[in-house]
Amino acid sequence: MTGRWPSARLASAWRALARWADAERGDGPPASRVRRWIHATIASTVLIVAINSAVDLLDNHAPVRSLSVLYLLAVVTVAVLWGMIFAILVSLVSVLSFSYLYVPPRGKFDITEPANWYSLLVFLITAIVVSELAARSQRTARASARLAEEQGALRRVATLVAQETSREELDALISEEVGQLLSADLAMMRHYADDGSLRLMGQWARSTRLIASGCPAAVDRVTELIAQTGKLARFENEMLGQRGGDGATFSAVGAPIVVEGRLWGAMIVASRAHDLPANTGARLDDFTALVAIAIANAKNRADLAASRERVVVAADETRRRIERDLHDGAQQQLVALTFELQATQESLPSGIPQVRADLSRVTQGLVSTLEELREIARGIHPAILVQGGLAPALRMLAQRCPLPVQLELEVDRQSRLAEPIEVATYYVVAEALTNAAKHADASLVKVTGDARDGMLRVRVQDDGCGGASPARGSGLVGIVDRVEALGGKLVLRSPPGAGTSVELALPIATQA
Amino acid sequence: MTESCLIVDDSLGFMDAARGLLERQGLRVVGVAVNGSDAVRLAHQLHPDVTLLDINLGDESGFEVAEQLQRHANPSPVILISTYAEEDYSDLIAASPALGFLSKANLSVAAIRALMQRASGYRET
Repeated sequence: MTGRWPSARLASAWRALARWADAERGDGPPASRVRRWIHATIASTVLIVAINSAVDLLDNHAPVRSLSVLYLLAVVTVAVLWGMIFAILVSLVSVLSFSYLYVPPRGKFDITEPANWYSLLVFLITAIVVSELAARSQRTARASARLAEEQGALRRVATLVAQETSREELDALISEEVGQLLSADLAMMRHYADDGSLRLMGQWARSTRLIASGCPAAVDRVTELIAQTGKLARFENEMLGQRGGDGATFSAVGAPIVVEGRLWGAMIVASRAHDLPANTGARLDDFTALVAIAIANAKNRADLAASRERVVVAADETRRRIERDLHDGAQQQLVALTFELQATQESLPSGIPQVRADLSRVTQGLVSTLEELREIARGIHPAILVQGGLAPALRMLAQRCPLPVQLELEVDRQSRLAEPIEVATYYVVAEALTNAAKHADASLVKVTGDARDGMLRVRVQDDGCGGASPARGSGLVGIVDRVEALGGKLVLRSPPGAGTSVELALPIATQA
Repeated sequence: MTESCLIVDDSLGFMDAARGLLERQGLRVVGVAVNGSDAVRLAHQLHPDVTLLDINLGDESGFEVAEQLQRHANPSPVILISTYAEEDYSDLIAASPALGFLSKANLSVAAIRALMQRASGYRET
């Protein structure tokens, strides 16, 4: 007892046969087509001989005409695996051999016997219908497998784009996906730059030796042709480029990458093992359409990020200028006015205490106006950031906070961070401290920060009641935009009863 | 005793008003400078008893000018002044070699003398 049903054995035998038959089906190179014919001939012969033997065995137990049905097995098998032409041939051979060997009078094919013609007709119809159905289902299966493969490749590319992989890495990986998907030896992405030069954006080769031996001439010709026509291009059997010592020839197919209506570049595959299949161009085209979207997305994202950063920087610049104008203009003037009022007060003759008191009140008013102005100016742009940088600014915030603040900074005092980074960090800490003091019912706030490995990380943690939500009108929402515009991340964690933490991570470029 | 004083500030309106105020209150303003290099040169020539130094000298930082003044052979005491509040700059004021800080709105000879006395008191003890 093997534990396997005959049907299971049959199924696995069928699968093996199908693999044997289907190796390099369709548009493969000529060598594999010959192999397929040989396989089909061998299989048909074996099947007909086997059925002949079966008919031999059953000959005396059943009406001989009914045994002709057995040949349909061969016709159907060949129709499914090798297609219509072989199935028709097998039908003819079956009817001839059956009629010749088994139908009396044996040893002769009776052309006038209508039963022979009926059998042939039935066999031919079966051959045509079955092979057509099989071809259809195979086409569908192949299309869906190809689609799945392509979708898989595209999904991987899309994931990489979404993960904000660096452009170089992304282009290399896209090249690899395309090369693997189209079974090429070499795949590369070339970009027609605005200055007219040609840039290699990504490259993949089945063997590194291939890259070392220089770019195949076919690839260059395809690149050139696409630049001229903006259409699919194909070159067959071109010699390897300048340094190609081994005399290998290449075929290359290229598809244009059109980003936002402009010819951005080309995706090119090259192969030397065999000719690239005729549908390579179409498949490449399907793929490059999505690559173009990925590039456009990445470009839009980069443009958007750059524009957001410009907006933030410009806004900061404006705020800084307003603050400075307030300081240099209104505030200085108010101070000068108070001094002059004091002088007037001192020069008044004695005996008019009412005037003196009035003047004194005006002076007091001026001084408190000055203080108010100072508060406003501080809110617009903290002056200490300009003069002292982040560390003194955060210490100033800590001192001004009504709660005790424990501040631990591991930031090099000598090297200043870029101004937008300092400003964003200042606002984050200022807002977090304000929230802790106002809403958290906290007794201590810890502010820790360090700048290393190109990242500034700052954490503000209180020991309060937690449960803060960024949606509840916290000023942090506006700051998130600012942080993200600089490529950073801001995370608020506030589990009820376990305090609130605000974590900031910003990529930094240090300024000397 | 009439102390001599050097004022370093880039706001001319404030400078005039401050000069008037301090002279009325009995201080001798022996020189004024609007930038760091003038300040260093005048301090060297005039040896004022005290230098009032604005923290925001246009594009220059008053803290840096204070350092430069301090590198002098016989440095005169420096008092930092600003329209900003002391708490805005407390960290940098503490780190600077200046005697102390006065908000411009609270500027007076009495306040200057108090700071100088406190500083010399520290020095004697």
